[in-house]
Amino acid sequence: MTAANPELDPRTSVIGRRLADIERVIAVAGGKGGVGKSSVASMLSLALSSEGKKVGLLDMDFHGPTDHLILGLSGEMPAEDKGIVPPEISGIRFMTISYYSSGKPSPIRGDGLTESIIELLAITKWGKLDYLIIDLPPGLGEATLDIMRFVPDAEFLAVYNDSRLVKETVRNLIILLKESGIPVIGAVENMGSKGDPPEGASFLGSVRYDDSFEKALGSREMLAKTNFFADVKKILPRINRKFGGGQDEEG
Amino acid sequence: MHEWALAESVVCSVLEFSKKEKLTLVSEINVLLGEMQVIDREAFTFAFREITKRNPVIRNAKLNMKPEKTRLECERCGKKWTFSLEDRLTGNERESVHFLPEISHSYMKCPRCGSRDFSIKKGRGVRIKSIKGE
Repeated sequence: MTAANPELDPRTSVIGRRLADIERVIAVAGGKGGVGKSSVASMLSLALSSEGKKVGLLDMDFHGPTDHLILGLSGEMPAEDKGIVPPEISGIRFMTISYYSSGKPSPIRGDGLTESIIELLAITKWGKLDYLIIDLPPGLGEATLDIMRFVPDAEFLAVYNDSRLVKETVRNLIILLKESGIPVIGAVENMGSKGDPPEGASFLGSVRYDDSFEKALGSREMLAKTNFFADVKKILPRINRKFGGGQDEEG
Repeated sequence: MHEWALAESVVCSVLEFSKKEKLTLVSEINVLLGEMQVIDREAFTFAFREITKRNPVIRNAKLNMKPEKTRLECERCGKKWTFSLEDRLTGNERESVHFLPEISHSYMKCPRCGSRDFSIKKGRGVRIKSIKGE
């Protein structure tokens, strides 16, 4: 009889299985805070859903989750069925730690962040999805590195705005991703229409500044009427073309 | 309760390990159940048996579960403490910590200095201590 002492974390083995029925995982990153990753990730999810796609959204900004404010929650909670099943919010299967934090601060350090990221990836049952959109926090820390590590099929989409400060940070994010062989779909400009992407990124499109967005927060109907939504929809064909080539007609 | 998902992750991990180490029969699995996650042993065992019943490599493995006491340490003042979840958290808060132990930072503070900046040193969740087989 051989005895083996692996001291294993059992959760990492099952993550691949949890994501197996997801056609495409798109991680929305940007390096700098405040550029609008959460807004773009949430609106991208809503736009894809409006075209009949089955979409999931995972808010991985555990320190400052905000996707639940954009989509609007009314007391929904994940169901339990051999794991946790994200509820459908505004047509999207939505997972956030906000279900569990009661609106209180969640100051979690590095190791704890990775633990909670692995936990959520290991126990969340997404089912069959066309897209899983992952909203990443700013920076090149645990969330970004753990997605690179545990979701090898993830493609990255960068959000930036037309400031040298932002574009420099995104440039380094793209270097990191390309060094690791991770596909970068391209970059989306938010709150502007200059069309001058950071170095290393293909330009996907611009989302103009839209002051009606704030008032529409929490309402799928109102969000769908914003210029923000219309601009994101225009970008969809380019995102799809980068994947399979000509899957959708140019809008 | 999501013990099924946790049991599934143990099975997945053991089978992956067995393949790597070329074990054809797993006879014993020793698992640590961190007290913070308040895992229901019966539900966990039931799920484990159901998931493994058709796999000859693992279906007869003895599953030993040992509790691991919670050890917390404040990063600000160094205070070390353990606790009983019942003493400090409401039912809903306990449920949240059961799913995601790190959410305890939203509900708990260092008993000495009141900081939320503590680390969970032990007792966090499920770990495989050892696997026996041939």
